Amino acid sequence: MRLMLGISLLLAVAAAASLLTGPVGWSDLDHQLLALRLIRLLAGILAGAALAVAGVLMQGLFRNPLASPSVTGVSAGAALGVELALMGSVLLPGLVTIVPAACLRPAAGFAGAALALGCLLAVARRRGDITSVVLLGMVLSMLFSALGAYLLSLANDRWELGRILVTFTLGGIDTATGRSVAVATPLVAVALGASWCWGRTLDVALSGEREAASLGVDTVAMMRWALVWTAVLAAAAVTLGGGIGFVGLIVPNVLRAYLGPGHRSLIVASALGGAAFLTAADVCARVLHPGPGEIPLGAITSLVGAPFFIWFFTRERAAGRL
Amino acid sequence: MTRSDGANAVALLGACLLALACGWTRRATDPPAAGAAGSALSQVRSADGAWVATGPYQRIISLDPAIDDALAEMGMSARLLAISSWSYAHGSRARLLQQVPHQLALHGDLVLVSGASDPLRSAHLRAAGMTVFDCGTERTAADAAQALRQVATLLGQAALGEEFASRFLTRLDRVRDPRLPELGACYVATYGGELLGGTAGTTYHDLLVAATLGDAAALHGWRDWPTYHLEDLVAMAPQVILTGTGMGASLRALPGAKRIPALAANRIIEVDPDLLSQTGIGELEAAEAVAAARRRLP
Amino acid sequence: MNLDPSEPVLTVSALSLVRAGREVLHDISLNLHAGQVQVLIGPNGSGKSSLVMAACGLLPPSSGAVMVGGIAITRLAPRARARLVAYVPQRSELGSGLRVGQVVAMGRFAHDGAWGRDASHHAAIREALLQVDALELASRPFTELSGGEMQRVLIARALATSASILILDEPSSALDVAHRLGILRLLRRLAEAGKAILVALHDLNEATQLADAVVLLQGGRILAQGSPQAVISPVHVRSAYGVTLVPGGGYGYTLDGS
Repeated sequence: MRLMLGISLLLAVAAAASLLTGPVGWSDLDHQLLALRLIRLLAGILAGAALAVAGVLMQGLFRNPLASPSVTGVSAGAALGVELALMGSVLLPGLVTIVPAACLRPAAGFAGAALALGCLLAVARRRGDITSVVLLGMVLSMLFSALGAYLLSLANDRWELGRILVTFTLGGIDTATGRSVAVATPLVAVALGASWCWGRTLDVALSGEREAASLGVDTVAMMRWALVWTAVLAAAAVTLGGGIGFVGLIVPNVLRAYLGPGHRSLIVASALGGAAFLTAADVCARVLHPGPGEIPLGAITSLVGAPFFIWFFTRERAAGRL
Repeated sequence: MTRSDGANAVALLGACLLALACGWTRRATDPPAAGAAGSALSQVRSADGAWVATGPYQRIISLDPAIDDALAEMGMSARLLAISSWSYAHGSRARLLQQVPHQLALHGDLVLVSGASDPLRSAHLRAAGMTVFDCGTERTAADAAQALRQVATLLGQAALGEEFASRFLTRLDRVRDPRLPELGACYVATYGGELLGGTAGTTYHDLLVAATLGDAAALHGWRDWPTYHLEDLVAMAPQVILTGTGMGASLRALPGAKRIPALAANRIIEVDPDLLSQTGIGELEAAEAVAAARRRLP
Repeated sequence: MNLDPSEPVLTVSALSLVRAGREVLHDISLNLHAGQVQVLIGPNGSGKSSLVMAACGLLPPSSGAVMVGGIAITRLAPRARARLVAYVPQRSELGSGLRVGQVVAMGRFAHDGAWGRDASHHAAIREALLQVDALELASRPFTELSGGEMQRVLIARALATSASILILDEPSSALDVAHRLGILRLLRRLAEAGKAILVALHDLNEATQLADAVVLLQGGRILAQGSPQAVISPVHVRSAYGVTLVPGGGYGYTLDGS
C-alpha cells in the first residue's frame, strides 16, 4: 500500500511543520507553548480526518462524488448549533457554570446536525429516496446559513459577540483548547471506527438501493447510521474548526481516483489524507500571511481547494472516469 | 431493532459518554468558584465571573488600552511589561499582537483584558496557567471609574484606586458648564455610507453631557451603538451634531440633510475620532475637547 | 432436509399491490418449483416488473403474501432473504470504477460475517463466473463490457449469493440476438442444475422456447397461466396484445451448435 505510506509521510511532514511554525522561535519555546502547538496540531488532525471521512460517507450514501456534509445541510446545522452555544455562553454566563462550555459546543453542534438529519429522514420516503434527500439537504443548508446570518446581525449590538461569531464563521483551529480536543477525540475516534465497519455495506450500496436491498443490505438502517455518524463527525469538526469547507469534497475524490471505490481502504486513506491536508493548510495560514497574524483557515482551504478541484474534475471527466 | 442497530447505538452512546467525561472533569486551571477561602479583600471578582487573588503583581501584560493610562496615572506604569498594540500609551515597552503564544512567551504574572476581548482567548490563557483579570467593558465614565478601583485593589492599592476614581469623576463633572443652554444633540459618525451612532450606555453619552448637550437619541429610546437611517435623524431633530473630523462634509451632503436642524444650521462639532473613542480616563481629555468646541459654536 | 420435489420453493398467494395510488397487481397467485423456469409475459404496463419486485420482497404487498420456505418474504431480514432469493435487474445502476470481480463479490455480502469473510468467499465467486462463462472478464472494468457481458456478470452476482431461487426482470430485452439466446441457454442450464427461475420476458418466441410454465398478465391480473402451448394461444394473445398470432409464421433462431 504505497499510497497509504505516502499519505502518512505527508501527514508526518505537515505535523512537524505545524509544530515548528509560530511567532516564538524554536529555541525560546517552553513546554507550555509547545503544548499549545500540540493542541493546535491535534485539532487540525481530528477536524481534517472527520471532515474527509464524513465526505466519504456522504458520497457513498448518495452515490454522487459531489456529496459532502455541506450538501446535506448537516454542516450548516452543526455550525448553527455551535453559534447558538457561543451566544449562550456570552449572553448567559450562568449557563457555563451548569454545563462546561467544552461539552456544550459539540453537543449543540450535534443537536443542530441531528436536527438537519431529522428533517431529512422524516421527509425522505421510508425506502430512502436519495434524490429527495439531496434536494432537501440543499434547502436546509440555505436555511441554516440564513439563520446563522440572522444571529450575526443580532450580535452587531454586542461587539465582542460579533467578533466571536465572525471568527468562528471564518474557520480556524487556533481557538481550540485542550479540553475541546479532549472532548472531540472520543467522538471522532468512535465515529471513524463505526464508519469503517459500514464500509462493505456502502460498497454494495453502490449498485443502487433496489439491487443493494436484494443483495441483503438493510438500506433504511444504512441510511440512518451513515447520516448519524456523519453528523457526529461534522459536529466535532465544526466545533474544533468552525467554517472549513472543501475538505470533505476534495480529499475523498482525489484518493478514490487512485484507490478505487472500495470504502474500507478509502476511509482509512481519507482520514490520513484529510488530517494531512488540513494540517498543511493551517501551516500555510500562518506562513503565508504578510507580517504577523494568520489567514483564516476556511479561506485557505477554499482558495487552495477550489481551483485544484476544478482541475481534477476536468481531468477525470476528460478521461471518462466521472 | 436489528443487531447492527444495537451495535451502532452502543457505540454512539459510548462515544458521547467518553466525550462528556473528558469535558466535565474540572481542572486546576478553571476559574475558582466564588466564596473561596480568604477575606473579601484578598480576592477581586473579575467581569467574567472569576475570582482573582490580589497581590503585588510586577509583570503585568495589559490588553486593555484604557487601563494602561490608568496605571500610568496612578504611578504604577513601571509594573507594565507589555501593552496591547491598540494602546495609545507612550513608552518603550513591548507592544503585543493578539496572539496567545506571544503573550505567554513574556512570562508575565498577570494579564489584564477588557470585556471587549475574545472570551475564548481568556480561557486559552487560563488553560495555559496565566492569571487573567477581566476589567469589564468600559462603556461609560462610571464603568471606567469602577475598573480603575478594581485594578487598584487587585494590585493591593485599594485606597489609591478609590482616590483616583473619585478624582476622575469629579473632574469630568466639572467640565460641564451649567450656564450654557442645553441643546438637543446626538453623536453620528459616517463610515462607508453608514450612519453609526453612540448614545446612552456609551462614552459618547458622557461626552455630550459634559458639553452641556442633551442626548436626543437617548430620549428617543436608542441605546449603545445603533446604526441610523436618515429618517431616524430627522425624527430626533438634533440641534447640534457631534462627529469626527472631516465627516461633517459627508453629513451635510446627505440627501435630505436640510431636514435635520443641526445640518441645516451647520452646527456641527468635529473632533478627532481617536480622541472621541477614548475610554477610561482618556475620556477626560475628550470631554474637554468637545466642551471647548461646543463653546465655539455660533 | 426432506424436500418433496413437488413442493413449491416460492409461492405467491392472492397478491395485490398498490403503487402511487394505483393498483398495479390484483389477486396474483403462482407457484415456483426447483428446477423449473416460469416465465412472465404480458404487454407493457401489465405489471411484470412489479410482480418481479414483489416476488423478491423488494415491494411489500398491499394484500396477499409471497412465501419462501413457508415464511412470508417480507418478514425475513434482508440478509436472510438475500440468501434465499436472488434478483437480477434489467440494467444495473453501477457507476464506473468497479471491476467485474468486485461486482460479483457483492453477491457474497449476505454471507459475510461481522469481521471476516466467509471461507467460501473466493470459491463461490469463481464458481459463479465459471457458470456464466465469464471467468476471463474478472479484472475488466464493469462499465467497459458489452451489454451481453454485463448481463452475464449480473447473473453471476446473483449466483454468487448461493440462492436457490433466481428472479430476473427482462434480462435480454436490450441485447442483440446472439446474446439473447446465450442468456436463455444459461437459464436453461441453471434450471437443470436445480435452481428455481422466475423470469419476465418480452418476446413470445423466447417464452415458448424457454419456459416450463407461463403466466400471462394483463392490466395487473392473470389472464392465463399454465404450459406455454396452453397460454400462448391465438385467443389469449389476441386478448392481451391485440395482435393475431400466426403459428410458425416468422423466423425462429438457434445458436450454432445447439
